[in-house]
Amino acid sequence: MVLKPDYLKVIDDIKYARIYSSTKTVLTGLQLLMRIVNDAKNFEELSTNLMVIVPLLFKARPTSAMLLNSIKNFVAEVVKASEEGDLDYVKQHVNKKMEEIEKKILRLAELTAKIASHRINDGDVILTSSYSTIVLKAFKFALQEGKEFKVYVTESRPGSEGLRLAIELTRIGLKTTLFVDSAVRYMIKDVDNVFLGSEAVAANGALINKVGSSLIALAANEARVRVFALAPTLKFSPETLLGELVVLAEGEPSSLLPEGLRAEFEGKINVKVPLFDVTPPEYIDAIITEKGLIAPQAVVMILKEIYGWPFHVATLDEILEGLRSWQK
Amino acid sequence: MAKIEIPPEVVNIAEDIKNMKIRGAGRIARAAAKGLLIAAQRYEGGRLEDFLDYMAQIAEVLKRTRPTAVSLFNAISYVMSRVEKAKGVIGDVEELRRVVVNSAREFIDYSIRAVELIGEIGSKRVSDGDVILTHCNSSAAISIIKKAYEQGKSIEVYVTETRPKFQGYITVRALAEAGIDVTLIPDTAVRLIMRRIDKVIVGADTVAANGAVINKIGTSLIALAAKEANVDFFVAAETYKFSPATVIGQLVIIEERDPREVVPESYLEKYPNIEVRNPAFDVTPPEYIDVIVTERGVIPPQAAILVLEEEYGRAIADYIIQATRAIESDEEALVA
Repeated sequence: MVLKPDYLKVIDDIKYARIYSSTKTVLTGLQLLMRIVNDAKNFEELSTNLMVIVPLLFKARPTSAMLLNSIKNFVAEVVKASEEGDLDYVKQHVNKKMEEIEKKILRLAELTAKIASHRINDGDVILTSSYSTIVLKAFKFALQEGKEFKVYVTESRPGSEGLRLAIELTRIGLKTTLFVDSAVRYMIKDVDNVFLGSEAVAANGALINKVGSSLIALAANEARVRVFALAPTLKFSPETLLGELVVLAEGEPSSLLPEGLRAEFEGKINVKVPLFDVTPPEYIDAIITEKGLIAPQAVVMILKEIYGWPFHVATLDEILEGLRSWQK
Repeated sequence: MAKIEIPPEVVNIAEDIKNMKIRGAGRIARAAAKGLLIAAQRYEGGRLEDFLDYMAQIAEVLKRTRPTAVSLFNAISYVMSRVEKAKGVIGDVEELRRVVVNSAREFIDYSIRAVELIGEIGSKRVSDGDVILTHCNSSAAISIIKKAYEQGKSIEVYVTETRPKFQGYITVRALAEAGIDVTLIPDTAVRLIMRRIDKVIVGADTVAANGAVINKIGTSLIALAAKEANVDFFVAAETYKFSPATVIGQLVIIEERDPREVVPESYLEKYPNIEVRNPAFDVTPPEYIDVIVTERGVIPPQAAILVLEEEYGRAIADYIIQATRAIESDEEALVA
């Protein structure tokens, strides 16, 4: 087998959240799969590599519904093309499809952001956390629409993506205030709306996003501040409708401690670094999708539109089975 | 008021409190008491009036180092109210000096003993098998946890890292050294972790007359998450953290500190347009607090006024007298 080490490096980058924003993570993952297709010299190699890498890629970020949805679409296209023609045909077909998938992801993100921008009014203070490209885009649209507003950003430990987002926000000319995650309840009095990105949306309307999101939503709920989750429907998890739980990935314990303290604490204390948490639907005022604003409780309606009734959701394993006939 | 000479040791103590070399409500209070003690010992004059004036000025200097720290104010008022009471019956500097020295020592011993007593009392509320969450670094909260562990109770403790200054490191170190099973988590993980928690135990910087607790930023968010999950929320606080001034309506001022505690200086220089705010404390409303554990016993937060009347009745009376005088002089001005 010819597993290139740089394939595995991409997987590691995704696993340890070195890529900011879930949309960029998904695009990176898909580009990796595309390279595997393009690098393949025969069907056997293609099938072997995909059957190893695809599950690794999924497990690198099991929380991301969009990653799973996109991987499934991608593999299904490979299987379909391989039934229709030779390897060159597969490469050609999948490259074209890949372009479409990428375009779709970006277009849905833009549409979602555009709709979200309508919920920003002159004089608003919007609180956000972590680093969401869709939230950032919504702010850009609102600025283009001539709205004057301010953005509050939490540091967003672990990872501190808020520091990066604050830089981007001031770069596009927004008044930006940064503070530690603990200060959310203290600062929420000044806030009009909370905008959250999304890693996945469950069938009951619960939002899975960067850890701390549920704490922000709780404080917003207490202060009667509205909470919007920005989630194109590609981030909806059909598996949750069949009872599957979304896996909440954790980071490396060492990532929380500065290097100087690692040796001292090694073996003496436990360190827990959750990367995601779950915000219950009752703390979310609306989920903003490319199809418009919906109540979290209406997520199931969108899932029905996509997957039919009764639902049919093929598992990743089932889709991968289609590649097995190429193995010797 | 005559210009006085402040002994260099006292100047040092004042400086250390001001620039936070000495920090934590208990340590500040004890340092202030020690400042008064040293000042009294160093005094060389012979006239009682001069000594009283000198001590009053020293007290003022110490108070001004952290004007918002209640424990500092209470420590000074503990000593000075005894001076005030004694001055009518005492005739010479020597005797009054002894009053200052003794009451300052008394306060210091008392404050150390209070942490132990809180441990004794609070540990009774910890059950075998409890999972506890704590925030920041509170010696009173640690005292409860350690005491419960020494009593043979099997406990597990989660500690938030406590941005921006990571006081969680100090707490995990202290608990791990005592042999307690301890887990460090980021502040953002509080709601996620709450379902595993049986009790939250935190310290206090200040307790207001209505039972609201002012403590390290993030405390009120944890209390909110605990309330949502129906988890007990305990505050461990010595009575000298209760604020008499809040009885007459004064607000506790929340200090906003240097942004360089949050981000490196290079970040601020490179991105001057990003406003970085750094509130040091927040206010936890009494309805999110189950009990306050003091060295006098366990009270519901709403009974804070009882502690204040018992321990600081005199200080409160002074405030009322001042307020009454202010009204009277306004009335006189109106009449005139």
